[in-house]
Order: sequence, then structure tokens, then C-alpha cells
Amino acid sequence: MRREAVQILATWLALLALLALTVAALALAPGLLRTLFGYGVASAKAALVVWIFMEMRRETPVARFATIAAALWLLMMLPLTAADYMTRALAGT
Amino acid sequence: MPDATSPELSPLHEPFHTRARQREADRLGMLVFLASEAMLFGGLFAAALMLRLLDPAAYAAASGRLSLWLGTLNTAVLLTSSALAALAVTAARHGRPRAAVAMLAGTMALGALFLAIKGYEWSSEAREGLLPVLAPAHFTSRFEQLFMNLYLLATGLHALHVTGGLVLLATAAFKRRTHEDTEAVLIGNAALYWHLVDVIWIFLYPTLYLARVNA
Repeated sequence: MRREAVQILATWLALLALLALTVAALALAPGLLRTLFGYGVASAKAALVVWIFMEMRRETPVARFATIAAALWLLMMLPLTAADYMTRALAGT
Repeated sequence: MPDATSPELSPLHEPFHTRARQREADRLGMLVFLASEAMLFGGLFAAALMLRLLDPAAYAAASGRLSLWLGTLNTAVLLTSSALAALAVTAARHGRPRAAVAMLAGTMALGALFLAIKGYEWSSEAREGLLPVLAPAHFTSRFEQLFMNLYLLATGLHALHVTGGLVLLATAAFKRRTHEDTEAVLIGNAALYWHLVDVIWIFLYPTLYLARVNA
């Protein structure tokens, strides 16, 4: 139990450090790089929560597949939706 | 190691022949439900992406009207509550129900604190005329109104999920049977739901609060 508790507390500290890092990154010039950095840190935080707190590291392959499917589906649908809006102007030419 | 008839284990139900398969079905059912919840919020993230692509400068200006520090504080509160929920599952699995209930109580207290901070933030925005629907609002632009509509919908839906999570955690904490379950089925699933609420906020935070021009 002690080992697991230490691992959870270490993850919590890492999450707070990542949060501080995102706030510190606001000092960077606004733009694509800062946006990507913000979402990169958010993805790292989410990965820690899913892997350690949600115990995905102990799950069966089928449970992992269900979780990854949700993320992959969103990663496909968001760019496709963006592609629609970003190419509408081209359709008018 | 407790045997199959031991009260420390959750009862075996039809159609499962082994406890391992039953546990896997419990977890898988919850994970598939959580995946559908992620899709629900996916629509809101898509709306935010469209707004941002349409006018990045106006999006950043509208984001700058939100309180960065309250958003950051709430992120820290939710991350800490998730850590406590994970500790509750570990304690239950190691046969320490009192510690598990104490951790769940801590999780719920932080969940309530999150809602209190969110409520304070909404009331501040309402006073500034920034909150649509719930209070008389006066926006500086049509785009700002669209952003604040999205903000209220996203944070409102998330707050509803936090409230649902609190009910689920309370059920897990107060149900006597779950205290004896060293497989932590109910506590584990309630914690899974709570972690998803946390993950959604982790992405709402850069989407709504960090798009600003400067801190």
C-alpha cells in the first residue's frame, strides 16, 4: 500500500508542477507554439491521470482499447470538423 | 487471501463464472460509458476550435476577460481531489475501509470547493455583465457573446458532471457493503468517473483560460 500511495503522491506533485509550467508559459509570445505547448502539457497531465489514477497500467487490453478508442475518435473528428470550416472559403472561389 | 465466499469480496453475479471476468465487465462498462461522455464534451471542444479558427485575436481577447487565477486554482483543486480518489481506491483494496472513506470525504470536500469557486467566478462575471442567460449581459462584441455562451455551456455542463460525481462518491462512501469489498468495485468505478471529470477540466482549462494574450 505504501508504495502505491507514494506513487500517487508523486503523480500529484508532477501534475501540480505541470500546471505551474503552463501558467509560466503564458510569458511566451502568444501564437501557435504557445497554444501547442498548452495542449501538450494538458495531454501529459491527462496521460498521468489515466495511466496512474485510473489505473490503466493494470487494465486488460480490451479496457485499454475502449479508452484509446475515445481519444482516437476525438483526434479524428476534431481535424475533420476544422477542415470543413477552413475550406469553406475555397468552395466559393 | 480471502476465498470466493468471503464477505470481503463483492458477490459473483450471473452470467459470470469467475470474479476476474465480472470485474473486467464492471470496469469495461464504466470505461465505455466514460468514452461516450468524452464524445459529449468533444462537441463543445469542436465548437471552441471553430471559434478560435474563425477569429484567433477576438478569441484571445474574450478569453482574457476570464479570471486566470480562479481557473488555475480550480484546476489545482480538481487535480488534488483526483489524487485523493485514487488513494481511496488503494486503501479500500488493501482492506482499510476507514481510510478509504476518509479519502472519499476529502475528495467530496474538494469537489464542493471546486463548485463554490466556480459559483463565485460566475457571480463575478454576472456583475461585470459577462454571463449570458443567467444575468443581464452587455458584451463588447458579438464574438465575445459567442465565446461566453460557449464558456457558460461548457463549464455549466462540467459543473453538472461534478455534482453527479459527488452523488456517486457519496453513495460509495456511505454504502456499508462497499466498505467490505476489497475489490473496490463501487469505489473504483466512482473514482473512474471522478477522474474523467478531472480530465475534461484539464482540457477545458487551456481551451478557455489559457488562450488569452497575456497573464
